[in-house]
Amino acid sequence: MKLPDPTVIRTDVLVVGGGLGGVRAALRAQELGADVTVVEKAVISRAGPMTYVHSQFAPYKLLEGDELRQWMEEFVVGANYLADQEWLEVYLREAYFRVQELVHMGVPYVRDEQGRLKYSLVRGHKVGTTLGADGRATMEVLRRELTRRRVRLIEKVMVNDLLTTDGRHPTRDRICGAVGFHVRTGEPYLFLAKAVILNTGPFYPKIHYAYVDHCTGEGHAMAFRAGAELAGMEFAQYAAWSYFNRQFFTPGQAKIQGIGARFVNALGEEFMPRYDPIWGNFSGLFQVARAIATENLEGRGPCFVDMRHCSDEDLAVLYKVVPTLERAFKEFDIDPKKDLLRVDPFILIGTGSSSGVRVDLWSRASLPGLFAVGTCTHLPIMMTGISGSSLSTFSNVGGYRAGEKAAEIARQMAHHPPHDPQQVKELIAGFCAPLSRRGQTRPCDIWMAIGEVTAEAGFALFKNEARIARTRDRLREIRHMLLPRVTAPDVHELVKANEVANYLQMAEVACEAMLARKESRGELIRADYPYQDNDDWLRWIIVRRQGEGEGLSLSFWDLPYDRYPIPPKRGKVPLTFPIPEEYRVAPEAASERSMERRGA
Amino acid sequence: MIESIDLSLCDGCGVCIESCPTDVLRLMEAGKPWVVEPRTWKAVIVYPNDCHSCRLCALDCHVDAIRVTHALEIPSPFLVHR
Repeated sequence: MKLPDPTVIRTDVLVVGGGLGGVRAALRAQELGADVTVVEKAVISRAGPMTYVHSQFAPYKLLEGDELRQWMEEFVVGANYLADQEWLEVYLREAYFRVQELVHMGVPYVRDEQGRLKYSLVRGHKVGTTLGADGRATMEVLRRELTRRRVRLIEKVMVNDLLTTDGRHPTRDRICGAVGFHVRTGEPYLFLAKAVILNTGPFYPKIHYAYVDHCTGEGHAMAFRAGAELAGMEFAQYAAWSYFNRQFFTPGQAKIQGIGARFVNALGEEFMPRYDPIWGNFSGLFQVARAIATENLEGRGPCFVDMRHCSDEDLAVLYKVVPTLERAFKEFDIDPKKDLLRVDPFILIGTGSSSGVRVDLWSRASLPGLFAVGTCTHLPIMMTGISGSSLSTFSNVGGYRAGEKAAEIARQMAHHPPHDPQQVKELIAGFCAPLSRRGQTRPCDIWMAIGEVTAEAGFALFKNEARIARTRDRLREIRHMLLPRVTAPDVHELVKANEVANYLQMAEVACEAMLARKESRGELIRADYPYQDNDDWLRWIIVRRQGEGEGLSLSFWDLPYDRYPIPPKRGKVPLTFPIPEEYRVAPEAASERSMERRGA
Repeated sequence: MIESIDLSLCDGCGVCIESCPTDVLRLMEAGKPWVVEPRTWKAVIVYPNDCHSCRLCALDCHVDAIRVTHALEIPSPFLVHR
C-alpha cells in the first residue's frame, strides 16, 4: 500500500496530549518564548480524566516549616514510604502558586454564598484543602488561554511513536520529534521538535468505563520503545469500585467518599474499618475495590454505597464537580437520598498509583529531549489511589516545570536536531499495517482476550510467582499470535488496533515488574510475600528495553533516605487483607476449582 | 452505552461529534438515500460499541436529544458473589 506523504510540523516544543499537565506545560513554554504545538487524540477540553472531574489539592497558603513537614509525613505514609521526598517537597511548595494561577485564569471553582472558594475534604486527607470545578469548564478556560496565546493546536491526531536522532529504537542519542495520524482521515503527521513533552495519561484497558477507554498508554509505550526508563510498573493495578447497580460507571469516586459515603455489605455491616483501620470509608481506591471483592468472594456480597445521610449541600457540590454522575442518576431514576447503590469493583492491569515514564525533578525522562507529565509518569509522589485530587495537582505542578525546562532547551538549540527519514517511513508503515491486512481479527477481540486473562480472581486478587508468570505468558501469546493478525477496515479501527498494541506491551512489562518485587506494597499484593518489607524494598524498580529485541533490563533505585526528612518505619508489616486458604496452597488447581464452583 | 439520538430534536449543530472522546458519532445528511429535507444534517451513532458511557455528548447537547443507558459489562470475576 502506498502511503501519502506526511504533513510536516516544525515546532520548538511538542506537547503530546491536551490534558491539564500538557496545557500547563504548553502555556509555560510559550510564556518563555518557545514556539509550542499541542497535539491531542480527541479535542482539548473533551479528553482525558480531567474532563470529568477537576479538583486540586490547594493549600490556603505557602506551606513551610512544621506545617510542610506534617503534610509531607501524611503523604509519605500514604505512599507506603516510596514517595520521592524531594519531589514531594517541590510539589507541596509549588501547588499553592500553580492553583492560584488557575484561579486567576478563571477556572470556575465551587464557591460558597459569599463568593469565597469552597474547600472540601477528599479521601486520604484529614483537612479539607481541595478545590473542585466542572472539568469541562476548566479545560475550556485553559483551551481559550491556549488559543489566545496562539499556541498551535492539532486535534484528532493520534501520536504513536517518537523519533530519534540516530534513527534507532532504543536510541543512544536523543528524541527529535514524533509521528502520528489523523483519527478520521488517516493522514500521517510528522512533528519535528527540539523537545517533546508526553502527557498521554494513564494506560488502561478498554472496558467501557467512562474516561478510561480513551487512555491506553500511548505515551508509556512510545517512550518505552524509544528506550526511556519506566518505573513503578509493578503497581500497575487499575482498580475502581464505581460500577453502580451494574448499570453505569462514573468517575468522581474520591468526591463521593469525600462527602461521607459509607460502604456496607449485604448484611448491612460497614466493612471498610476492618480492612483499613486508619482511613475506613476514606480509604484509597484500590483498598476499597479489593475489600468489596473480598466481601463478595467470602459470601457477604453484594456491597452497596450509602449516601442517604449526606447533606443536600454536599450533594450539590458533588453534582457541580461531577455533572456526569448527576446525569446518570437522572437517567436511571436514582435518588441517593433514598436509594442504596449497589457497587461492584474491578481490578485489572493499568496505571494504579504510580506506573510510568521515570521523571526527575524537572519532569525530564531518561532520554535527552523527552519530558513526561501527569499520569504517564511514575508519579514520584505516588498518591493517586490514596489521596484524591493530588494527581491533578501533580499534573499542574509537573507540567509547569516541564514547560520551563523544555523552553530552555529550545532556546539553547539554534536548529532542530536531525531526524532520520527512513525511520519516519518505517514507523508510519508500522502503525498503518492493520489497514492493509485481511482477516477477521478485530481490536475488540484482542481486548476480550486480555480481559479473560487479567480479570481472573487468582491473578487480580491473590498474586504469586506462578500466577503472575502465567498471566505474562498468556499476554505474550496474545501479542505474538493475535496482534500480528489484527485488521482495521477503516481508520477508526486503526486507532483501536494501535491502542491495544500499546496496552499489551505495557501489561507485559507490568507483569515482569510484579515478578521482580518480592513483597506486598500499595497495589501489589502477593500471596507468596504477604508483608510489606521496609528493610529490603524501599526501592523503585526501573525497567527499560535491552537492545532492539524483546529483552528487558531491570534495575533498582534505592530511595536516598539518608537525606530525606521523614524516616521510614523499618521491618516487615503483615498484610491486612485475608488470603483464603484455597489461594495459599496449590494455587493453580485451587483457583480453577473455585472458578468452576462459581459457575464462571 | 449510547442508545439513541432523537432526530426530531437534533438540529445538526455537531457539538456532540466533537465532544465524543472515542469518536463514536458522525454528522450525516438526514434521511439519505431518501432525502426528505435537503441540507439537513443530523448526528448519527456510527461506532456504538466504542461508547464508554461517559455522557459528555448528552451533557453538551443543547436540545437534550441524546440518551445514554446501561454501560457495557466489564470483564470481572468479582461481580460474582456466593
